[in-house]
Amino acid sequence: MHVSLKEVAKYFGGHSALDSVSFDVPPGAVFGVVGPNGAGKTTLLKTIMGMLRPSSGSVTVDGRNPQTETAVRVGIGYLAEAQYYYLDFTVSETLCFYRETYPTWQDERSRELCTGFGLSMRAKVKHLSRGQRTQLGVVLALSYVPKLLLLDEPTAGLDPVMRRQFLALLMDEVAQHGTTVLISSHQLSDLERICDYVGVLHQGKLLDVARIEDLKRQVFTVQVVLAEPPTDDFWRQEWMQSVRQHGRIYTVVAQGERDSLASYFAAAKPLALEFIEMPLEDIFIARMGGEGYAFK
Amino acid sequence: MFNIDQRSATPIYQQLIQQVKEAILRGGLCAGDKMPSVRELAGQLAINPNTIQKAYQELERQGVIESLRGRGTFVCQSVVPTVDAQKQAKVSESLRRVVIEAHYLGLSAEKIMTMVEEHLHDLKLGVNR
Amino acid sequence: MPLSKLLPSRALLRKDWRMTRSLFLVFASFITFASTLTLAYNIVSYRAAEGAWLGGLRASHRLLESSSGFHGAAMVLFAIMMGVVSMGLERDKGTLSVLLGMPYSRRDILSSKAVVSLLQISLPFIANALLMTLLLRTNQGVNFPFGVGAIWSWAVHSVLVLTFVLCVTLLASTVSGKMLGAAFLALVILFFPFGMYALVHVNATQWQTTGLISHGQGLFWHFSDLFSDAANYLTVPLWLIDFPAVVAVNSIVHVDMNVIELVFANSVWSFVVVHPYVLYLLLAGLCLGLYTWAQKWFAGTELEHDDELLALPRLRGLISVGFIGCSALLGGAVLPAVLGETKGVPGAVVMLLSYASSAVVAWMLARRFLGDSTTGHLSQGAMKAKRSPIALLIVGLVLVIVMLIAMFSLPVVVSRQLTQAEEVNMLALADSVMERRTQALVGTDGAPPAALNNDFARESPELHKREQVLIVELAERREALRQRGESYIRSETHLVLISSRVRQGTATVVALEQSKLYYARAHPAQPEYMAWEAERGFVFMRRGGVWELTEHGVMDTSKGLPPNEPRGN
Repeated sequence: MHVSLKEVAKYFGGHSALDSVSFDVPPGAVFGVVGPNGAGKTTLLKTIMGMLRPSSGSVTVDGRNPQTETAVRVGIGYLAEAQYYYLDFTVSETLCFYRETYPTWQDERSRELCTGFGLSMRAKVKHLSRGQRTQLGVVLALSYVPKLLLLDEPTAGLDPVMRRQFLALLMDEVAQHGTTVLISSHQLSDLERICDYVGVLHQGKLLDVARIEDLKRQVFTVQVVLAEPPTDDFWRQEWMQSVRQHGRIYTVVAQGERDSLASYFAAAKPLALEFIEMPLEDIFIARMGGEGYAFK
Repeated sequence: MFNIDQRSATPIYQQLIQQVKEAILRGGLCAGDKMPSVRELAGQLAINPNTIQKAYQELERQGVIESLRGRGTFVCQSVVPTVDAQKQAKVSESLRRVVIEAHYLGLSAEKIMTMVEEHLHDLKLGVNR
Repeated sequence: MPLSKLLPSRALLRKDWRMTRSLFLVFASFITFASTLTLAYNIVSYRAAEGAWLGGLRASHRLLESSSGFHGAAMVLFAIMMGVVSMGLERDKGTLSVLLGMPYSRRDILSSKAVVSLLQISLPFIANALLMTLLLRTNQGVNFPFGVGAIWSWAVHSVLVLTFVLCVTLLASTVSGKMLGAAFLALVILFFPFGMYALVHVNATQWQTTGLISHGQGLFWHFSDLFSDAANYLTVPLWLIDFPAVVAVNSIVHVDMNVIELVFANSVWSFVVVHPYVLYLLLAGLCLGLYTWAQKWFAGTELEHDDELLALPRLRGLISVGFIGCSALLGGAVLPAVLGETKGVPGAVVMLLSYASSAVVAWMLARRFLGDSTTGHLSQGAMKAKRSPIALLIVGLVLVIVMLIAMFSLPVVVSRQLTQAEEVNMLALADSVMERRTQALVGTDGAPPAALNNDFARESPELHKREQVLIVELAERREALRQRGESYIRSETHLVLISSRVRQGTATVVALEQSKLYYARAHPAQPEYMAWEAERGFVFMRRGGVWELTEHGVMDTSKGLPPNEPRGN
């Protein structure tokens, strides 16, 4: 499913949760949304889901508005960090409700997943642990083979083994059905593995959208040791994000192609030149110019 | 079989390409062997199938693997290295960069050469094959 | 539109039923206990006491007649609970947002809840009405003071009033985000008229005691009096309790009158209150209106205000003003009593200060709980329900036409029971007739006692003539006894009501006569009095707006005639 947002804004009372957000997600892509708490990730996903009405702008899923056209929601799956279930229902009653709601429900799939997770059909939801409830959520979201999956911090609260299991399941789903996925998460390591694109949300604004491999190819930390300090102009290149100096060691965060960077620094005849691997967070921080994650 | 390091500066699909090639060279994958499907690999490694698809496409373009309709993807019978002037220039540039780095890390020219030979030997590409 | 589209989805119905079934079971048990089980118990007791037990059946009759007191209030509370729980529970637990992310429209979600709640309210009444009808039919030997008609009219009346309560509560639930808020709002709406009247009345009295405003003058007092009538009629729980009594008070019901005839026979107020069909149709229409309103508001609710007391911010102003106003009145009613200063100018000052301080406190509370009225952007425009206005117009027209047909053709009352007022007065008349006879055996100085004709019942002229003939006969009997040396000095006559029934303009009242004739004793060894009991039937016919007693007699003559009966007939 193709997801498209144009200038979407959402206000709660006087507070703006989303501000002029625009992006497109082509069908079959995996789109990650990162951002600090309160950035608006949940609001964004709920708006795409059709639960919330944007204050202005438009949201379209496959060209249709998910909020007004209920038929679109048949193909959208949602897994939230905050889990809401009918606590008094048993697992099988919950499954039954979803089965009757979604025409594309696959019974064998749901049973298979439940058995895989070890969920008992007759257990009441209020007796399930948090992890088990997440698993139930996964069963519910995947069993009707939605064409669009919206995942709101799905791996929060899962141990590393379950987290890897979940991602593997997710990727298997994408590979098999070509599902479009929007996932919000703090775990950048997860996003690195699975996303085609990543967008940064900060205080309701979408700061940037990029492909991970592009990011990795374009931002580097270079450590240069120079015998004599060069001219001031040397450090005044616009592709240099930041320069820090400890005696003769200069640490530069720079944007550009690796080879050209290497050549540039080599020209200064350094005593030592090293490219340090940057975790994705630092890449983001560098690109955003320090917004969002940095403490001021 | 494959090990992806997401923190590395190298994009995942490139790592995958390298690892496939390395596996073939080391004998882990032989000519005619069936490659895991995109779906299987995505599930095993928990990485984006588009990435895997990209890697497979590139490997196919390079003539390392071939996909036979309805039967799967297989390692090519004979890997014919194509001589590509542009690619050669790129490799040369990469080598140059590595040499610069090595130098500034304090490695002497001899050490660099020894390391190259070690790798060649390890990959069974050495002069004494 | 295919029928399947008009009904909400089966999955939703099943889910809503499953969610609320415990509350439904409690409610159903309560209704069953209060009606069928009580009736069954009364029947058993009646049979055990072999007819001497009269009180129990009256209890069932009272229940059916008026759903009075405790039962009425409990039913209203149940209906409020059902309405609040069906929407509020989902909101409080957060499952509403999940539901909204599913392929259901807001309209479907609310309609499913409405349908399930409606079923849960009506099923217990229908089931119990069936059971009680069965009990009546299979217990022919028992003298029931009510008929099958009364049972079903009880069921219909209760279902309709509770449906109205439910619709009000559903509307309140769309306004408030919390269950408690919705319950509070529903209670306020349902009791508002009565409570408002009380507040206004008390404040008026306070102002009166300051001496600055004299009683009886001006529009203010007219308004206050008018308001009390309106308040009584508009407060729902009072309906349940008082409706049949109000009918009794305004009881000018002829069994064959239709609504139009009654309009010209009576005042405006009685028109609304007395005619069940009109009232019920109005009520049904009101329910539909409230439901449509609830749908409209539900479509416009901002979901993110679920956790707040008020889910519809645009009502904030209205509710705040209402709250502040009522709090001011409440302060004006309570504070001067506490402070003690009520007379003259100081009294007026105290009143004004009370208003001011209560209003300020209420304003602060409103700000705290209802939120700040200075909002930023709200979502532009509520979602307009996709419903053609023409359909609504057609529905409205159909309702009006049905109402008109009812008003012109249907007789107002099909199966009517005697109201308590009527019963009491008819019995008093019958009592006086019997008293007159028995007195004739005693003999009095002066004119014999007259029959107690009253507004509800009187003696028919034919009967009066026949009674006069009998009194002469009884007087002769008295003389004969006196010549033999037996005379009576005193009589006591007492009628105990057993049952009453109305059929086609004829009412039959069965009562037990318990009478004593005291001997004029010569010496203590003689018995003090002669007593007898006889079951008598009194037949009244509806003439000229009054029940006329046309004949009466002993039901079972096999045991011999009591002394005050004519001989040789």
